[in-house]
Amino acid sequence: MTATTVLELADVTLNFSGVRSLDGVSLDVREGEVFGIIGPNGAGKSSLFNCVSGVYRPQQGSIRHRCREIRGARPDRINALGIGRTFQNVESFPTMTVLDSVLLGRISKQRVGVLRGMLWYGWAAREERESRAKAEEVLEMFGLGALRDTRVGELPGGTQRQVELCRALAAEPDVLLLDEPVAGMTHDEVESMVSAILDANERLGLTVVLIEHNMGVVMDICDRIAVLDFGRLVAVGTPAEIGANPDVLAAYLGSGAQADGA
Amino acid sequence: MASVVNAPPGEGVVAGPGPARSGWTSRAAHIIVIVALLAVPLVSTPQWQAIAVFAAVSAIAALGLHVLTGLAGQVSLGHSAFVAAGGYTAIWLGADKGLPIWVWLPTAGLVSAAVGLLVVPFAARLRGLYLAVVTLAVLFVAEYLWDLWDGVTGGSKGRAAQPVVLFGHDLLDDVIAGPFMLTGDQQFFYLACAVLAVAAIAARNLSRTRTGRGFAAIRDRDLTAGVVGVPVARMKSAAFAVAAGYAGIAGALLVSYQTYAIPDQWDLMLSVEYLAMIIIGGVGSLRGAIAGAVFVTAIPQVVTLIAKVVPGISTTPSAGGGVSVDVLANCLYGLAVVAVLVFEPRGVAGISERVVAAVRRKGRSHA
Ligand SMILES: Nc1ncnc2c1ncn2[C@@H]1O[C@H](COP(=O)(O)OP(=O)(O)O)[C@@H](O)[C@H]1O
Ligand SMILES: [Mg+2]
Repeated sequence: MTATTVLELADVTLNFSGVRSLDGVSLDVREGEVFGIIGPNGAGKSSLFNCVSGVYRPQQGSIRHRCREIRGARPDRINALGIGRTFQNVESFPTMTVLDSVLLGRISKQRVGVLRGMLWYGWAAREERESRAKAEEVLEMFGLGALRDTRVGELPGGTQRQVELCRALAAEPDVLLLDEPVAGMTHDEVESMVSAILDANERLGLTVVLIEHNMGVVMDICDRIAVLDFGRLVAVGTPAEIGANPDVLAAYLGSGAQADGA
Repeated sequence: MASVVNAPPGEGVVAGPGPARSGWTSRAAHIIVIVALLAVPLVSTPQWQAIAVFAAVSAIAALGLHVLTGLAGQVSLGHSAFVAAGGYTAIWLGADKGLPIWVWLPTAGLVSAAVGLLVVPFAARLRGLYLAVVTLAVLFVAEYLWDLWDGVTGGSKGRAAQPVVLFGHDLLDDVIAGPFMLTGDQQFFYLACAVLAVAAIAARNLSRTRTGRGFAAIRDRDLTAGVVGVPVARMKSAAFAVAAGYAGIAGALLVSYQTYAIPDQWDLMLSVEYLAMIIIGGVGSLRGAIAGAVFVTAIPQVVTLIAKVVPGISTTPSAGGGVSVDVLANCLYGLAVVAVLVFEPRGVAGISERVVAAVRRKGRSHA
C-alpha cells in the first residue's frame, strides 16, 4: 500500500452544544480507491462529510486534502480544490432544468465574471460551450440527455439523485463524497448508480468515499471500509476484514440499528 | 450529439423546420410589438409622453431589482436610496461640475454600485426578513443623509438637476424640422429606451452565464450553493452592486428629466413601488419587470382619466369629499400586487405566456 493519501483526517472532533457527533476520528483515503463508511443511524457519517466539505467546522483536528489543510475553509473553496459531494437528502434546485443544474456544478471551473458576462455575451460563449459539452458528457453516463430541459423538481427521487451526481461530476473533482447514493432507489436505479460510481472510479480515476446502508453494494464495490459508531471510528479494513470483525457486529447489534436498510 | 453541444445556451435543443419557423414568426412579432411601443409617444398627449418617460426610466431601476430579487432572491427595501445616490452623483457631476452625460451617466451607476457594496457585509450574513430590515435601515440612513448634506442635495427644498446635453442640444428642447416636431419628452423617451435596452440586454446576458446560475443557486438554496461551488458571499455582493448600479443610472436620468430633485422623493414608498413593479410583472421575469414598471407608472394617470367619468373621485388632493386620485392609485396597485400573488405568481409575464399559448393553440386548430 504505497498509494498517495488523498484525504487525511486526524483526530476530527465535532460537537453540537453537548452532543458529540464526531469523536477523534482519524482516517486516510488513498488515491483511486472506493472507500466505504458504514455505521448505524446517528453515528456521525454525514457529519464527517459536512466537515470535509466545509459545511461544519470541527472544533478539533485536521482535515487535509493532498497535504493541504482544509478544515474550516469555505465550501466553495473546497469544491474548487476538487472535492465534490452529494447529499443524503437530495439537495437539488427544483426550478432549474437538468442541464442548468449540471452547468451550475461547473461554476468553480468557469471564469467569466459579472461585468464581462453582462457587457458582451460573446466573452462568455466559449466557456459556456465548453461547459455545455462537459455537462452533456456527464449526463450521458446515466442516459439523461433527453431530460436536459426538464425541471429537476418534476423528476422522481432516484433520477434527482442521478442529476445530483452529474452536478458533482461536472466540476471534474478528484474526490467524490457520496452520502447514501442508492437510498430509496429501485433495483434498476441501484444498478445504474453503482455502474456510474464504478465508471467514475475506474475510467475517470476518481477517489470515491461512499456512505451506504446497502451492505450488498458496500461489500461489492468498496476497497476498504470504515465503521463509525457514536462518532467514534470502530474499525477500518477490507470488506473481508470488516465482515469478520467482532467489534463491528457489536456496534450494529448494540445500537439496535439495521445494517441493511434499503 | 455534436450539434446539440454546439447549440448556444438558451436556445431550444429541439431543432427542425416547425419550431424554427415559429421562432422566426415570434421574432417578427417581437419586433412589431417593440416598434409599436416605441411609436406610442409620437401620437400621444404630453401627459402620456411624460408617463412613457417615467415608465422607461423606472424600468431601468426595476431591472436592477429584478437582478437582485428576481434572479438572486435577495429582498431589498432600500432600492430608492440607490436611485437617489445615482441621482445626486449625476447632479454633482453634471450640474455642479458641468460635465457631459457621457461622464455623469456611467459614473452615477458606478458610484451607486459602490454604495451598494456597503450593504454587502450584512447581506453575506443575513437572509430573508433580517436582510430586508437592514436594507430598510440603509434607506432611513440615506434619507437622513440627503436632508443633511445640503451642499449636494439642496436640503429639504431640493435643487435643480443637470440637463441632458447631446452634441450641444438640450434634450428637453423641442426639435422642429419643417412639418415635423419632436418634443423634449419624446427625445428623452428615446434616450431612456436606448439605456433601457442596454440594461435589459446586460441583465439577460448575466442570467445566461456563470453569474446567473450562481444567483439562481443562492436564491433557491444558499447553503447547498456553497457546496456546489458557488462563492455565496461574492455572488450576493455582485447582485447588490449590479442592482444599485442600475438604480443609480435610473436615478441620474430621473432627476435630469424632472429637472430637479428633492430629498423627500427618495422614500420607502418609492422602494415599495419598485418592488411592486417586479411582483406585478412576475418575479424572475425580465420582460415582466419592464411591464410592471409601465403598469405602476401609468396607474395614477389611468385613475385620473377614470375620475373624469366616475363621480366621487377628486382630482385635487385638497378638494373635500370622495377619494383622491393618489389614494385610489395606491390602492389599485396594492390590489394588483395582492391579486398577482394570489392568482398568478408569475405576474404579467405568466399571464401573457398563457394568452400567447392559447392564441397559438387556437391558430393551430384553425389551420
Ligand atoms: N446540525 C446539527 N445540529 C445538531 N446536531 C446535529 C447536527 N448534525 C448532526 N447532528 C447530530 O450528530 C449526530 C450524527 O448525525 P449524522 O452525522 O447525521 O449521522 P449519520 O449520517 O451517521 O446517520 C446525531 O446525533 C445528530 O443528531
Ligand atoms: Mg446520514
